[in-house]
Amino acid sequence: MSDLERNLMKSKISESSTSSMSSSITEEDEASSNEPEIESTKTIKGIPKFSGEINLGQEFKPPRNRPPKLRAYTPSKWSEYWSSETIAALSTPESKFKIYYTPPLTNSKAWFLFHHGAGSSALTFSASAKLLHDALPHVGVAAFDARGHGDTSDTGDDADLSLDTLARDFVHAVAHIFQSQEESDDCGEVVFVGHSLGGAVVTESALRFAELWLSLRKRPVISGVVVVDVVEGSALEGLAHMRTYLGTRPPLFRSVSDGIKWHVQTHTVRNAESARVSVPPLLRDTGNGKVGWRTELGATERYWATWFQDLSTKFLRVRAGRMLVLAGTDRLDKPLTIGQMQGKYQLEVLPEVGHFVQEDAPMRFAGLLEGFWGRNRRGAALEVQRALNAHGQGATASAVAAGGVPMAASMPKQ
Amino acid sequence: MEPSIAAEELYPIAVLIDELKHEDVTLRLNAIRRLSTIALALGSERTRTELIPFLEDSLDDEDEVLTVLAEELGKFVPYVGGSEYANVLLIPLETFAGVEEPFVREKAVESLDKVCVEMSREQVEEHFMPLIKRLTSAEWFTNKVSVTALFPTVYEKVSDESKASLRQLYSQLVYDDAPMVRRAAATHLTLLIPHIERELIVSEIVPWFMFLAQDDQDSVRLLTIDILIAIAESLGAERAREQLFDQLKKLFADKSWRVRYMVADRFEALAVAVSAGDEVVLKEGFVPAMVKLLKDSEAEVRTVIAKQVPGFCQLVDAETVIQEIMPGIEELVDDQSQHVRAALATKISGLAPILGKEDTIKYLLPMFLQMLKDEFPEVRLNIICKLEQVNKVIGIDLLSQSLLPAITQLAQDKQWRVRLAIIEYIPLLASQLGVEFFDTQLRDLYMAWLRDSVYSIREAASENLRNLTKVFGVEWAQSTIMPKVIEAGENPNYLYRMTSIAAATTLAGEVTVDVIKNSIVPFLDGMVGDPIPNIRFTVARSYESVSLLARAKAAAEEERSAAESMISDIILPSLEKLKTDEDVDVRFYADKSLKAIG
Amino acid sequence: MDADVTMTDAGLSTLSPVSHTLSPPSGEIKASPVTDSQSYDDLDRWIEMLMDCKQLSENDVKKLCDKAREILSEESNVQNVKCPVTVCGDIHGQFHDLMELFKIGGPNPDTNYLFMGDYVDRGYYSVETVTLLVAMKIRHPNRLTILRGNHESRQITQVYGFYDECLRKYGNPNVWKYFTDLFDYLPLTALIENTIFCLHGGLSPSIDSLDNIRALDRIQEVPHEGPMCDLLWSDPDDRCGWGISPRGAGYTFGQDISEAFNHKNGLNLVARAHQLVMEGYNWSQDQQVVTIFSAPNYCYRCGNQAAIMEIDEDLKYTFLQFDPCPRAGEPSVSRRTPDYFLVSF
Repeated sequence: MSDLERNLMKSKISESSTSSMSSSITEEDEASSNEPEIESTKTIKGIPKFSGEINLGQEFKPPRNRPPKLRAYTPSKWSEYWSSETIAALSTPESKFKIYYTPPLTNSKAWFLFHHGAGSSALTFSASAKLLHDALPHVGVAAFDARGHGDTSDTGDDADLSLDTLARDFVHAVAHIFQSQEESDDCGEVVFVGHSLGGAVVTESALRFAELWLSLRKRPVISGVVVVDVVEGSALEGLAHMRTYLGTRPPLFRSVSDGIKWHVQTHTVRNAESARVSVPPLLRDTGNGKVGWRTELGATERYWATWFQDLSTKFLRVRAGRMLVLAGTDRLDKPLTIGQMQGKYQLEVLPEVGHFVQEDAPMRFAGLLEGFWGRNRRGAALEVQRALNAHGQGATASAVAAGGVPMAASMPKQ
Repeated sequence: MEPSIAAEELYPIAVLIDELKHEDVTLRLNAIRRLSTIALALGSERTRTELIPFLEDSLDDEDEVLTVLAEELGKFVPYVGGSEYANVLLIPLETFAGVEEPFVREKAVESLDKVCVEMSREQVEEHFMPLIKRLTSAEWFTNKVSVTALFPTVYEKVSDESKASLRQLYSQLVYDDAPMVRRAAATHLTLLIPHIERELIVSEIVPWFMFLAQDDQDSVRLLTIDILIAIAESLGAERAREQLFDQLKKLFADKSWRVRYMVADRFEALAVAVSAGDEVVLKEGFVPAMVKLLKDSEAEVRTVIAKQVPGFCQLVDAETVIQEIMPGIEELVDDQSQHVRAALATKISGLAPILGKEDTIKYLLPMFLQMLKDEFPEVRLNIICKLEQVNKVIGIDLLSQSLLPAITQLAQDKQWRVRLAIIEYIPLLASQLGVEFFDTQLRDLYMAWLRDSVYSIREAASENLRNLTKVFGVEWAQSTIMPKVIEAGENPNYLYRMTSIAAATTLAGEVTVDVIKNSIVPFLDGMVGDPIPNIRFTVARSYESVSLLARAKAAAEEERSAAESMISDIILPSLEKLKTDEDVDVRFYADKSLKAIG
Repeated sequence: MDADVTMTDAGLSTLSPVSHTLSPPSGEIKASPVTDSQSYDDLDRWIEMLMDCKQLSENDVKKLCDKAREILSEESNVQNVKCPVTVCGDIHGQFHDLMELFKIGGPNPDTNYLFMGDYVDRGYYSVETVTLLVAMKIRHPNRLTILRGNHESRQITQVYGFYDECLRKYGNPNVWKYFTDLFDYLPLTALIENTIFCLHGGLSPSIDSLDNIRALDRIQEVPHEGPMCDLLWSDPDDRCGWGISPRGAGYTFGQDISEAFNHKNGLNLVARAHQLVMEGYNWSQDQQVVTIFSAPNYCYRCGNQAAIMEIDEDLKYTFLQFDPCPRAGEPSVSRRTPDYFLVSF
């Protein structure tokens, strides 16, 4: 019960974080809470309209004013969120990788590159990538369907979801994006954002970026790595039960709309708008009038454990800005708890969202990415150094001249 | 419930009903929590014909609302007109029992069970049996998971014919394709077995057990340990063995550590249920299994089996313990996992009463000595805390002789709780070993504790001076201990000076008025002017105890006047001075003591 | 893994006591608003309950916070503290480990304490922990100083547990509100005998002198940036100068910065908390800065020791390290038990 109450209370308190869609509802909430207290006799007298009788016929009609929980579950198009799509041959000559992107408005070479999780697709980032690009028009956003996923095809081996292969594919996708821009002195910079399995892929890619970068173009600088809702400890513990989980998914839906509805009703995705664009690529026509899953996750079982092995320590080894975004509560494992408490990365926990953080709370997620960019983009550190060190220079110089301060007490060395 | 309710009282109900339909989920929740109020106002008939059908339509509501609703409906029998109408509640609850959200299902099942309890046999046959059938044969696993919990209550309330059909339905659940259904069936089978007729257990239930015990999911297999215990309790040990022993042996050696963990965790209970004290069964069936589990490859399994050792060993004779099990235990003393060693350390002294004096000395003492030196403090601590059990078996003399070297070492243990455990033990040791032994072997150790860096050690050492004085006498305290305490009062660190005040106050409880007057109070009074306020208010507090103790002790007239003159000449003036101290805490405690002394 | 190693050696205890002059009465914090003995009795009863890890009623928490606000609003942004005092770092709702801390360092008021923030979040007993410390503060304002940490904030506590805990334990968020409103009044920093500067996080590029801090208006929610935020969020770093904090708030500062700050303000040492250090305390920046962390086995999983720093009347430091309080009952949790929970990738 407390969970429920907590969520309710929270939604009342953090009004600032409620999405724009619900703002009208919030206002009505305010109005209704100003209504008389139920048990106060004073207010009863104050309302003469009440006839003293409960109107039988009217009372138990189905509620009219409650918004229906089942909204329209019709699919929406990728083009509402991205400016372009392309098919690229990445890791093998004949492969067809689907890439969605919106290039930087100016000629800048700054990109956010997204990698989705297992069984998901590039379009999971649709809403948040659009919001991010709206806020930072000089930064490009791009996401691709990993092999075996979405509209990517002809990869040669759809079932090879080893971390190594996935990281190669991803770095090739990054190179492809950069190759499509004009060559210049600026090598450009990137922020990698990976959700779930994608978090492991972008971490691996960042650590092995030099090794995996095969393009003739200059390698861009990695300014940041963002991992979304995956923690090695809990992922590994949960693996044993992944099969059971997969077993609970219905194998078939009557239609794509039904699939969207299932995602929303089971709270897999908690934002119908996001589900309308992200779910369609997860489903495929089975030929008998029904739709089934595009990716057969069960077949990738042999890779599961390897995806997350050492993810926490790898993440902490990445030499770039680091941010971990978690849904609901923080469930850090030991290395990440220590790392966080030592201030080694930025931790953001978004309450009241599910695993698909980027879909459930695209505004808040895009806001986090925007702030992360502001602090970690190339040059940001230098600007701060310059501004601040100019400010503190006088003091610094005098301390050096004084040659340090002697200690009054004998302080033991550690 | 009467229709004559005044308009003013109905108004809140109207508001509640509005809230029931409100778009704000908080208000809907609030209204549902007070559903009984609404029902009471509507009367039972309208509750049945209008309110309940309305609630049935709530299925598309938020899960949190449904959870509360499902819970409330379990208390609703009185509001729909009593048990004869209870069946109207089944319709919404059945729907809730099939939803995705486990919270909602759990509450719906609890409520269904409550309603079932209140229904008559005829109603159960007429309404509940069909519900069980529908849920069991539903397509979606959620319904099937939910229904498993309902069988025990229903089973008690139906005809033999229906009982047979319930068993038939339950077997569908046991053999279901979905592991979560089998898991739910296995979990609730343990609760169902006590209700099933004994003669049917072998023919109907045992095959289910055999099937579940060979499930390819370890999460199902591990649930069969409790089923086995339940069957054995119903059938009796001998018949249970005929049926189940071979399968149990397979579970002992299951390839999944989770299953072996469960076996190990229930080992004593299993042995009791299946052997019923039969020595041959214990020796040939269980002892080898325990020996194997003690060597299990997983530390978790070894940890839980270590805790079962004394309990199980009570069931077999000491000879078997020594011959068969002891080698395995001895290996655990060196186990690579500290958790295993710590678990063993809490339980191993429980073997002493089983083995008796001679074998405890021969087998257990060496293990104790080794574990007292374990690098993991918890192991050392667990052993020390349980020494009393061993003491009872072999006596303090022997124990202290063999342990003295270890104790001297532990007295300086890095872990303060180990030091604390030893301090608690010192008065007992001292009384056995005598004053000379204490003064030569232990006194310096003890005095070091009064200067320990950890507060609790200083406190325990000063507290235990009381017990030591009881053992060695006032004379000894005055000549040997008091000088050391006074010396500690000069420590430059206020925390250690505070300990010496505490020690002096403790001693005041054990010595004569004369000693209080001539050595304790002068010592305390020397600290009234201490620069640190904490010392000054500690003295103020101590003066209260010392004054009251001196008065209580003064028996003879002479002593009484000595006590009173000490109070009026030294203590009260000092307290009056402290009462005007610059520090508020000093003033507070001085004032408090003055009032207490009177 | 020493349980409690004192860094002074036994020889120190043989030194003769230092002569002290009683400090002038003006140095005393003015009489606490708790005046009548009834209030003292209430407070003592509350503290006794809290020491047993029993929470106060919602109404009593309100009274408590009202009283605490009166006391804390009198305190300075740079609160003067006298030695001897025992300095402690993060606690994070690990109530039983706070009890362990008092077992090691001695009970309050007998031992004077200075806590450098982060009483709530993460651990399971934030409510009991913070209520107890606030009650102790009111009972003996001269014997206990509590500073503000970055977790003493409305926003952070909504994510990291304190809010949820209040809701779970009281059924409504009122207690959370009383405390977070009170947190605005907590002093930001403390100054021990004009030589040791204590605060939760670290230095700020917007602050050169202690007077800069004294000039801040601290009665507000911890801002997202600016000097007040930095004091609660910054970390020392091996690199020179100011840097962007990987935490996303505050800055990192190098040895040059702390040396300059200590020199300019006549300080010997910056003592701060905020960062987990495996030994419980850690000297850095050529002993310009010490980090103290007092939550052992942080989050019940980090395996770190905790420490407190005893500063005696001669300004000598002794570090006492300690391990988590043994939980009642079973000896220890093994690393996994057959529990189930699902994740999706």
